[in-house]
Amino acid sequence: MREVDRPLRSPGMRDLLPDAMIRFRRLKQVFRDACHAWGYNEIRTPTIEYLHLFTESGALPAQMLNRVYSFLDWDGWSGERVVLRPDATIPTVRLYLEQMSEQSLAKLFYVQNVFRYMESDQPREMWQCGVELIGDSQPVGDIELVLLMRQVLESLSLGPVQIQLSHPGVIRAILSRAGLSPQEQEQVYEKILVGDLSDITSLEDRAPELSISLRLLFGLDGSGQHYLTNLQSVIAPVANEASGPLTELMAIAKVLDEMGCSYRVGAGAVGPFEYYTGPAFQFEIGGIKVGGGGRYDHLIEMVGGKRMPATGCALNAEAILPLMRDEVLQDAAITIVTTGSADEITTALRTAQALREAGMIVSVASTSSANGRWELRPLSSETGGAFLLRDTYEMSEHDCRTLGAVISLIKGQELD
Amino acid sequence: MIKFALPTGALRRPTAAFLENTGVQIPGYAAGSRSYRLQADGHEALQIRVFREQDIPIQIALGNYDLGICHLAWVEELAQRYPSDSVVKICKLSFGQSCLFAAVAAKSTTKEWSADRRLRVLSEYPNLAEAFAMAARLGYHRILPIWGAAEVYPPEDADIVVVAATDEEEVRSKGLEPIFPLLKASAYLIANRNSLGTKNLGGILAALTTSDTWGRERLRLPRAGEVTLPDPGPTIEKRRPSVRLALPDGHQQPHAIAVLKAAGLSFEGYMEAPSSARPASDDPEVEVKVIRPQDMPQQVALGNFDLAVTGRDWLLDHLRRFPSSPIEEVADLGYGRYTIAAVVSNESPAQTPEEALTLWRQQGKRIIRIASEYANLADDYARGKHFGHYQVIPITGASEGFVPEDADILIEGTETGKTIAENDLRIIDVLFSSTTCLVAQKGRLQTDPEGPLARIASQLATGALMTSGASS
Repeated sequence: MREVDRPLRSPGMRDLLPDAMIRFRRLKQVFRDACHAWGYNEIRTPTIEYLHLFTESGALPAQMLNRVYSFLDWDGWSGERVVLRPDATIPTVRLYLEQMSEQSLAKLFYVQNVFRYMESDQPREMWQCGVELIGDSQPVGDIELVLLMRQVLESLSLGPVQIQLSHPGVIRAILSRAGLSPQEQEQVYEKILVGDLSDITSLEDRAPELSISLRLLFGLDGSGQHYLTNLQSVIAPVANEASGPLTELMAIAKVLDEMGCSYRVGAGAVGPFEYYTGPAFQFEIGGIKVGGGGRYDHLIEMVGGKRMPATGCALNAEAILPLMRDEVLQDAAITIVTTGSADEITTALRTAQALREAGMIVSVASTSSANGRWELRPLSSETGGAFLLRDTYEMSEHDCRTLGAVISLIKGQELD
Repeated sequence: MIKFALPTGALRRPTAAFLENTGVQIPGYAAGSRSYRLQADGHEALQIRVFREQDIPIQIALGNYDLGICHLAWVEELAQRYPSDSVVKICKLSFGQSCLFAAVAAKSTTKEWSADRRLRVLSEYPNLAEAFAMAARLGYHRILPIWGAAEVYPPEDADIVVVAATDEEEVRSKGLEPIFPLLKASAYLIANRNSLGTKNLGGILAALTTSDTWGRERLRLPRAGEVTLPDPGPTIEKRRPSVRLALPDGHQQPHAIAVLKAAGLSFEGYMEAPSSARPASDDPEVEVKVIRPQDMPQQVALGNFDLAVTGRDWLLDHLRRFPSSPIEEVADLGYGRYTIAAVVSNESPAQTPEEALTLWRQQGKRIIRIASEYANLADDYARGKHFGHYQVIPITGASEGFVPEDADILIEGTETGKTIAENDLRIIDVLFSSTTCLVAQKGRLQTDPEGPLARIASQLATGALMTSGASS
């Protein structure tokens, strides 16, 4: 490897080596197969979008807006800034409005990268496997996404999948009941969105009647309809606006119970997006958050369309890839070594082609430093043999008079 | 050696007075010496370099200088775009107090001429303007960076400006109405974090930090919903004049006045310096504003102005950045001749940019630093000359002082070459010759060759020709 006093790789950017690429392709394949089976169609949105798509109130929260890669394009003389896509849902909504809005129902999925500035060498480019369901009202769409994503994660055999349900409407109702001004609600909510619960204690002081609700909501995660019933009985009398959101959660919970899908209910599962308006969900494996999403019924209207229900969810490839099992790298099983004339190279290439047609992975090289087990050298007629086959695992050599003998020997050894 | 970056411009005199009071005498600094490198009496270890104020935080952040003095607004302007802890705000100083406000035109419709629903936010502090717009959740907006004279633009050419002023009254005196105070602060002593951690700066720090310099001033950004744009009220139907003409201020103004006189044009308030921002026009078809030449190409491209008197250097710099910008030179006015050149230190034996590049590579320079007020021309030049790993340092002035310590090469405009020679520099390549020219949107003059726009353009071109004939 190159020894450098200063890395050539830009901070926060990642190389994917062959073993990681194999895992990435497998994740993508499993995700695509599942999405197709559930009736979703693949899209790809551009890497560069207009900045203003993301700056409307209720789109990206301020702390994420401060991390976008925005710049003036070569034709940006009008001052219109563009941005490296910091999120995949808003571009999907933009695509739907511009290209597909005649469809009352759009089931779309994508595998694409998003860019956000992070300190030091934390990843600034993240790959998402996302689904967006535009036009289907809750709870069917929400339930579908939870079950679809669970299927993907289970197919990858990463370990038990924990699902957490929540509803930003419940948190908003409590903040409103605590007497916070809309601006204060926004501030506290933004902190909650990023997992900062430091303001909860002061809320208890400010509105003691909310103490039990706050403890139940932020102090523990429950599961099942019973827990939701408990929340409803405690929160609804003091924050009536929470009643509707809790009822929405109960509708989802009932079906998930029936489908044998276990889950927990909590307050902190809402992702760091302002645009979620309804049930939100998060997926964890071994305590690591691997994905999440939720309902965003206002977003399409905000971007310029008519109001319509929508829900979306994404898996984070950076979190999932390290959890996937290593798979055997498909190094070339056979390396044909040739260093000679044009004739010898031609012979090597023709031999390689014949072996590939026999289903083998073959490379041609001028040195014998390849990683595969077998090394094959075509021999000249003067030396008597046709091929010298070397088994680098067993450190043995075999003279083979025909290519068929080579294939038989390799297949016989590998069966052993 | 302690490297200390001091401001030129409006902060120069109060900074000099402050330093004198603290026992740091810098001959020539208060008087505005043409040399950008100065020495403090009795402080041999102190190496002084004079910069435009806005360049100082960048130099401190890069680690080129240990200490610097500039207004807090410029520190925040850098920090908003490039959040880094390499610039440490040591303390506020007792001078240079001023505020930053977001403001709109007083008594105006905010959308008087705006052709679309995008809010135009314009400022010399584009990063702070963007931070303001993001925090206030302005939605569909554009940020237009300018070099100066922000107060002239609303309401026709901007909806919101972020401007510096001593207080709200000064903002109002410029015909603006403040809508949000972003910052109230003074000049600051700043330092490079690494220098603080590794160098002995004790003596100079002790002299400069007095008891009345404690306290902190902070940038305040609005929360969502906190900024309310004033109700535009009933729309005023105002016909757009046929010709909106942008005229230059500063050292270009006397030349422009001569051309106007020769062309038989006169705008009250412009014909004698200092000019009014909105000179009066007797011709109802013509409206005039005075803005910075650097900002004219973009303003014409946007359609805010139909004609502008600017330098070819700024036109080409704009077109290097935005090749599809719909703007063109329609007449060479012939005056204000500048040579745009590549400049290196006299210490370098290189006679050509190729020789300079070879030398830098032999010296093991990893990154070629190219400083210029013309950041886009410099970028284009470095690419064209295959500088490889290079870094463009955009600066706002006082450029001759950058080479050799803070840059390897300059792309610089020079009229006589005198300042270059005085700063021990040498031209090794000429990019082009720039004169003042008349610019318009592409094809505009051809759409109505007999109309007022073509007439004014023709008058100005004739005036320039006559002026040139008179002076030769």
